[in-house]
Amino acid sequence: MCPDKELLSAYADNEVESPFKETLATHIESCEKCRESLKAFSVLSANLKNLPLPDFSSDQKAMQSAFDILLRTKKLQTHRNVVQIPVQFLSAAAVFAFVLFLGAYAALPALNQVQATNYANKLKSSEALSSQMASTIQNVDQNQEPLTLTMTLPESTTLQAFGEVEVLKVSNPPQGQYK
Amino acid sequence: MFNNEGFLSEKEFRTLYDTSFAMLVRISYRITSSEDAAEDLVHDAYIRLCEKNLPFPSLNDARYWLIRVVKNSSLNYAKRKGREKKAYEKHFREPKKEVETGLEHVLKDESLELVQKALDMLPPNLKEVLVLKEYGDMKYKEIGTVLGISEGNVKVRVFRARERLLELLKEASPYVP
Repeated sequence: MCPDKELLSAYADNEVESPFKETLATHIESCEKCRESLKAFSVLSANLKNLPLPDFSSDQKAMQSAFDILLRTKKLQTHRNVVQIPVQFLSAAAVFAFVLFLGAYAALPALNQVQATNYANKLKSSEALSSQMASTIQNVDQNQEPLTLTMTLPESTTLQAFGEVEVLKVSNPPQGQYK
Repeated sequence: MFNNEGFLSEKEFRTLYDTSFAMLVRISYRITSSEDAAEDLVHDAYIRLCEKNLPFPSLNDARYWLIRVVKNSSLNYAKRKGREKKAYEKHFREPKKEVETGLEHVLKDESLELVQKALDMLPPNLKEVLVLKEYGDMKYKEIGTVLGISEGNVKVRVFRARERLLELLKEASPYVP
């Protein structure tokens, strides 16, 4: 009994495993019909392989330049990969930045409140200093002679409203009245 | 060989290029029948490989990827060209050339021409396996990997493609073996 033609096609491609291969070979030797079928497949394969083909690799210089262009694309790609960030990380970072922004916006009035309280406390603590300042000014007013006052003012303009003046030195202090 | 987590190094890329270019162009040319298109499509495939920078377990896997891309783009090209040719013929009402089948014309060159024409007439699913088999020098298993089908399916398709080709050649010229 003759094998399936499909098996002969595979045999022509050397794709039949042992021991079927040997059994098939023995059959083909004795069967003219199968030999003809096998020959038809082999001739067809040879004809397909004999089809004229342009010589694509004849121009070595062109081949090299084509490869160089490819390599440049590859290098660029590799460089780009170094700074490549996966999309999910990027979106997570964007969400994080947005949340941070919202948080800062919400916390701003609270921060202002804290700042104001701090200034108020500072003012309270400097009340004693303020009374000294008042007595100094009173002395200056009463004294007919010219006085030289050296003061250090706070540098920050934002502190102006709540700023405190520090008296470092009073020239010619009236004896017995002020130390 | 792949020390950089499967990504191709320059040296590996060169090896891949040198060992696969001729085969890819051969496959593409047999499907497109155009020298320029074959070269362009193959280079496009290499560019896509570079741009995507995919990791491959081995050089052979990179080769299979290239074959798959070239095969698909070539079939698309042939399909597009076929449609354009049909539209052109329809528009200008040009009569199709009849294939001469007289005994005096059955010379070696013409028989090869008939083989090429018959190959062009094969449906894509049969044409692709036969082209990979005959011009890619690939085993059934490798063709199966490239096309994503079983080895048995490749065997069946190769056989059907051959049967169909033999029928077409017989119809075109009973003198061609």
